[in-house]
Amino acid sequence: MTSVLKIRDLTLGFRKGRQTAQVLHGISMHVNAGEKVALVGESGSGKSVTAQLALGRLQQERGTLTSGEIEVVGHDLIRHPEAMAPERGHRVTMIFQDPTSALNPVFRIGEIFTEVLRSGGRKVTAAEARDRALKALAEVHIPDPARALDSYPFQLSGGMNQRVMIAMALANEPELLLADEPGTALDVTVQAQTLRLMDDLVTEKGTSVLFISHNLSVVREFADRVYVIYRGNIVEHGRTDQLFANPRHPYTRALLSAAPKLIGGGLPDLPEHSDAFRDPLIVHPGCGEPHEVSA
Amino acid sequence: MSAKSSSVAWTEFRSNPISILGLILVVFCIALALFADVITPYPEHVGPIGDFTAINQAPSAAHWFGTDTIGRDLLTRIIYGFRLSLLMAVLVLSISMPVGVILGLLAGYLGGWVEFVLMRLTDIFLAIPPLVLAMAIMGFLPATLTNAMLAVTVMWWPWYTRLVYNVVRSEAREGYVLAAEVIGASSPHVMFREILPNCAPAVLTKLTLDIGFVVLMVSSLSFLGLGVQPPTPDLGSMVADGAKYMPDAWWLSIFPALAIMVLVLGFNLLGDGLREAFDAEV
Repeated sequence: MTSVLKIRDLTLGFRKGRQTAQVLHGISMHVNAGEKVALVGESGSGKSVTAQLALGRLQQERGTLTSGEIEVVGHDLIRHPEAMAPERGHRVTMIFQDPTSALNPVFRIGEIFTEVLRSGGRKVTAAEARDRALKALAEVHIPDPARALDSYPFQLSGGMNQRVMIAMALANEPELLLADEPGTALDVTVQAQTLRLMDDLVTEKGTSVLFISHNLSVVREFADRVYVIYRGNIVEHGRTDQLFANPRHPYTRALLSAAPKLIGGGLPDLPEHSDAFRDPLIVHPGCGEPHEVSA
Repeated sequence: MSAKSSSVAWTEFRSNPISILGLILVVFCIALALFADVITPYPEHVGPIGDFTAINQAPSAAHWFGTDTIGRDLLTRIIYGFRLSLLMAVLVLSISMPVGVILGLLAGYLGGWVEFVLMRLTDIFLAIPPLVLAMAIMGFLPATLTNAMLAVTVMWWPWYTRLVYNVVRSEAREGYVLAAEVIGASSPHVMFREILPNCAPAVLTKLTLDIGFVVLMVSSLSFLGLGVQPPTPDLGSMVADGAKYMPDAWWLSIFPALAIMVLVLGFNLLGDGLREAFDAEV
């Protein structure tokens, strides 16, 4: 099995003046071809920076210190982050939290779509772009694709914009889709619909997904495998069914008990930090990292 | 900034009678300036030659606004003064606006030392009162039309830099900027194709307001004798020249002053109307 995304002992720190803030403390993870993997954790745990590193963006900023390995669609992004530039928008794409703000209000959907299809300097004629955009919008069940293409983003609802974002992210047939809390800005029913739609499409196209979220119920529906991240360390790794049936790390248990329930009481009292949350990584049977298995 | 389609903005603009008054005044002044050669009763009075048989005449049917000290028709010279004022305003802004906008985009988007250098430079310019700065520049340049324009241009760009910088700083946090960067867009593409169109409402509104202010500034320089030199008809120098004959020949100063007021008021009302219509943050 080949991995589209492979991260090994990755550390990340931000240097400001003489001080360094360590954000990731040596995390390892992988996403195989056609697999849907979730990275779950609270705000500030290092989820989004991991996605930015996988896009090769963060490494190029000044004051960023990285070590370890990141390999995305065959590129070594620690040594050559610039190799990612032509792949972005093609072999690797991304979906964002707030679909409406991710679409520039001064352009029509059709114009933005053309830009996406032309990203990385690919030559696509206007007619061809429109044709592909129409097909892509029909795939995400947009009722009148031609009308949507001629609309401005603020004329469409949030749910429609999210479908447009999904269509755009999948239009160039990427190998890896990074979904950074998709649809968190939408209401739950719309979020559920669009996520199911995204699930169907990526399964059909065999796209690998790294799904970044703090929402456990969404992850449970969507992901094949789950990594739980706490303060820059992966604390638990397992298949979705294993992890939800038998959470073994104290932090995962705390996270699960914090999910709101339909029946019974308010939120439990959770310690914000607990020494137990720093327990070593727990890996469920059959899950390990590729290099550990072969070694 | 909220995104609004232009038709919504127009409906809002139209419903405000004050904005419409501004629009009418502006169109009126521009029309006078454009067709000055046809409209004016005595086009030959633009130059230094007047009619010495009719000096210092009070307003009459032949000379609606009276005549000046060498017998030139004041109405004619005021209409040509509109032409010069508007032309100067357009020239000054067509240089200072693009320069200011580009520097604001660079400072706001690139950040770092580019931001530091550009914004501190802007602060230095903004810290000096505009008229004082323009007078200082004119102090060591010969008082000509070109130099007056140059002086006003030099002190005008920082306002656009500051305005665009602030808009860019808030727009750069929008998701579409990240989305463009993630699909591999270059910095120039993000700045000019993605962010710049979102700055347009603010910049256009400020531009309209500024035409009035530039007219005022240029007239002030001429009033002080630092701008346009005679015999070119200029509203500011006409007010200055006439002031010597107050209150007997009151029309010499009052009519050019009223003309400046009408022009500036028109553009200000129009600009205010646009600002409300676009919700622009000027």
